[in-house]
Amino acid sequence: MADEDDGQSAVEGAEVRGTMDSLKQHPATELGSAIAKQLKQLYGRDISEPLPDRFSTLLEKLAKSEGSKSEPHE
Amino acid sequence: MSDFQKDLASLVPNLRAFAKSLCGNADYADDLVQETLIKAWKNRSSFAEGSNLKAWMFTILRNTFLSDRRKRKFEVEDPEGALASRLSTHGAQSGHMDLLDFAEAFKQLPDDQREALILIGAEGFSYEEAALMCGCAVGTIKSRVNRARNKLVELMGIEDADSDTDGVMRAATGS
Repeated sequence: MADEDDGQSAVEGAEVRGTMDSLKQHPATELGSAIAKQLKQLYGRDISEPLPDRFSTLLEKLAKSEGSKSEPHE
Repeated sequence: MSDFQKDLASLVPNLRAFAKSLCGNADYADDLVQETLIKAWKNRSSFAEGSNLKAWMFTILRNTFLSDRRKRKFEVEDPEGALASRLSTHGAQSGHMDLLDFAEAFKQLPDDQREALILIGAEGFSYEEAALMCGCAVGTIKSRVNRARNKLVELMGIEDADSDTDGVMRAATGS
């Protein structure tokens, strides 16, 4: 698992390095593209973080409480 | 599981990321997301079927954060260095230094500019949607994105070229 992570990180690192190289060489439009790519990478890491159970548990509780209100005799 | 429940569940990763970008603290961000889910569930009758659920949820989360901040006089910061530490996990690999540079620069953006960049550049909302969420004019969002871009260029020490906000956004949205 750790090896897989390291491998993935290395690939990401290479991609970022390439992005930054191009970012320093190209004019406005590609500069914008490079920033957008970095932004998505940064933000994407947060999005792909494992989800704690608390959220699925919460949604299930909310659904159940709603069900018990609408179907009191069940 | 109801469709609404499934839809909410599918948005949780994005809500968490957006919350972290707002408050800079992972634990607090999760509390904000939890509160947002509860509010959305309680008020789901006010959500117009067929409209943008993601935008609706982001607006609730944003309002929750701002309201909470006003109450607690919470200062936006990264007290635990959460973002930096996550990004420096692989710091020994040179390729990540560039991303860390970007992350550090990104953290230094003013709140409103960082928020605009996330909504438009990372989440892919339209200028109109972002303006509605932030309660400001479309031009204000465009201006914030442009200033954010220029600030990033400045902070990363890159030689600037012509400003091209739409270019940034076209690139971000792939359009």
